[in-house]
Amino acid sequence: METKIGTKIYQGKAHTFGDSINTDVISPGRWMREGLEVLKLHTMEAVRKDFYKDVTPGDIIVAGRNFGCGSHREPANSVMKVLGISAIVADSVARLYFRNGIAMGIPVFSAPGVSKIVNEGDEVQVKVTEEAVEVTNITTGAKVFGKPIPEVMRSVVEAGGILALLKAEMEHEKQTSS
Amino acid sequence: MGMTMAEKILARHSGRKVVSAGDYVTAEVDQVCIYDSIVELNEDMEHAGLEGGLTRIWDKDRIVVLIDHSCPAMDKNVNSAIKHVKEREIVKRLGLPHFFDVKAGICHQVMLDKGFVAPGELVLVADSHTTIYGGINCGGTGVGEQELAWVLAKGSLWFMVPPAVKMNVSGRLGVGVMGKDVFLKVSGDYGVEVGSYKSMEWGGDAISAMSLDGRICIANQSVELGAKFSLFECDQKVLDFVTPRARRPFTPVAPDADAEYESVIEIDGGKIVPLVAQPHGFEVVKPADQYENVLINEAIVGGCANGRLEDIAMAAKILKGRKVHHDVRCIIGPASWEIYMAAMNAGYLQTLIEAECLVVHPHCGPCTGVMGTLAPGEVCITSTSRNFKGRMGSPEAFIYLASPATVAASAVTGHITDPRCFL
Repeated sequence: METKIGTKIYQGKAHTFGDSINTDVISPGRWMREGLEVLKLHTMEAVRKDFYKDVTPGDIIVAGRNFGCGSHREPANSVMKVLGISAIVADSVARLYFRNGIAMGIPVFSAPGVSKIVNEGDEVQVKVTEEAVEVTNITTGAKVFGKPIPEVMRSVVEAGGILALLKAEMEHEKQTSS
Repeated sequence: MGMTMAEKILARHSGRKVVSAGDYVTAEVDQVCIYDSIVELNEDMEHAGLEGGLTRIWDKDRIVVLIDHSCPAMDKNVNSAIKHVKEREIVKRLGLPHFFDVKAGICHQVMLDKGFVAPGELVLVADSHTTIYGGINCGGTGVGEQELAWVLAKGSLWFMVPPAVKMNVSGRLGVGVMGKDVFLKVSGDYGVEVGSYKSMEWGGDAISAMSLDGRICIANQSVELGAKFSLFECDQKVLDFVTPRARRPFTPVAPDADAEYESVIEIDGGKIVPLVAQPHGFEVVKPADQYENVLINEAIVGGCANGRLEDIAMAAKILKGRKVHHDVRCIIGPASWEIYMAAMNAGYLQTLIEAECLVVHPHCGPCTGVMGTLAPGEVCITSTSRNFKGRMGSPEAFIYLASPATVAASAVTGHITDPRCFL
């Protein structure tokens, strides 16, 4: 069902958040060591209590600037998968959150202006092509574009994450050496 | 066209003569470090179908492993204790020579103390505050565990060569003004994205005159400004610290005179006063004396941001012959045992204990709410790295961020206080 990155599409109901949603908010330290199933009950609670109850699988997070700033903690990325969030798109994404998301196969994109065109509950489509990240508000018809994912990252996305890519490389090495 | 420090580091490590901002390179890494999240790294590799989990390490001499975040294990539900057992098993199985268990301190300070990082190098740690090494002219940046798994197998990783911002701090910092205040000045005036995906490259008279501890604090905190690297030039202060410790020969980098910067930010260091960032971030920053009506419950000096000798010396100077206010608990957390011992030998710890501070062992707990946890409605002033909502316990607590001087002065008075009245 999932096709190459050239035509990758995510569609779902939007949950909107503001600027500088940091990884302490996404993944509160005091719940982080309890495992992802517990952590998900507390994700975002500092800004929106019981967020997990509002999420249906496939939903999309739409946020403002600097999403995922702060600690490098990977649970802040992986908890999104456990919650059922299909993609995150923000006006801008902090560096480590972006790299982690790509490496872990949990899609996170930046598209400046997206927070202005999406309201809570709108149906949103994120289309990732080689040329751009295209975000369409299906409810209103509004559209914004973000820069495409760098080519070097696309190979990671296509492999399904950096560990999948590493596995493929190590198997390839084994074959060529034997 | 000349190169910035970041360009030179990435060129050198990718076998190229010249790189420029926006290029993508695969660069060889000099050193990595990871704490107990090596357990998740190992498990994630197993789940991804990599047989045996973490098995391949390109150079065992280049990886430092330790325990610093929950140290020793502190949770009653035993998760951390079990994780530490697994961590020790992984270290033993792989035969990793540089494992410090719970005995050394916070990862970044241990890396600095023990000479695992040096000027001109490229260093990756599974921790956001890895920008800290820029304080000694070393290209440090954070990565996630899964990317680190790649690095451990290959010894290299891809990078975008970052555009650079020249941060020129002129003049001289006043009495009671520390590296932390320079960071707060930048975050307050220029926002938390001023360094996003960029190399912040610092210079100017105030930086030259600044202590190494002050520069290291700024480099550490630059990740809160979005930075990929935060680099300071190598001078005698850096060499005095690094030369007796370095494990490898090293070659510092300096920016070319015609290096190209995306922007240049000029700051008059002489005009910076003790500053405070109010909850719950780094954007709203005002002079400490404007928050004097804020009563505090807790005051913290420590962490990888401000647990160095200069920081503890400053707290001791302010608290000498005084007592921590009776409504306040004051936590002093040296960043490493080397610093702890130096502070002990200098008499600072005795001074602080006599002032009724809680001097705790080196670990990340005071910064992350693992200890000194805040209840709803409580107010903390800290010189650790972050004041995010919920970071130190209840999301209904309030965390103000300031220098060790401002924290210590506030610990004495019981409310946020400009430290200059004690200096």
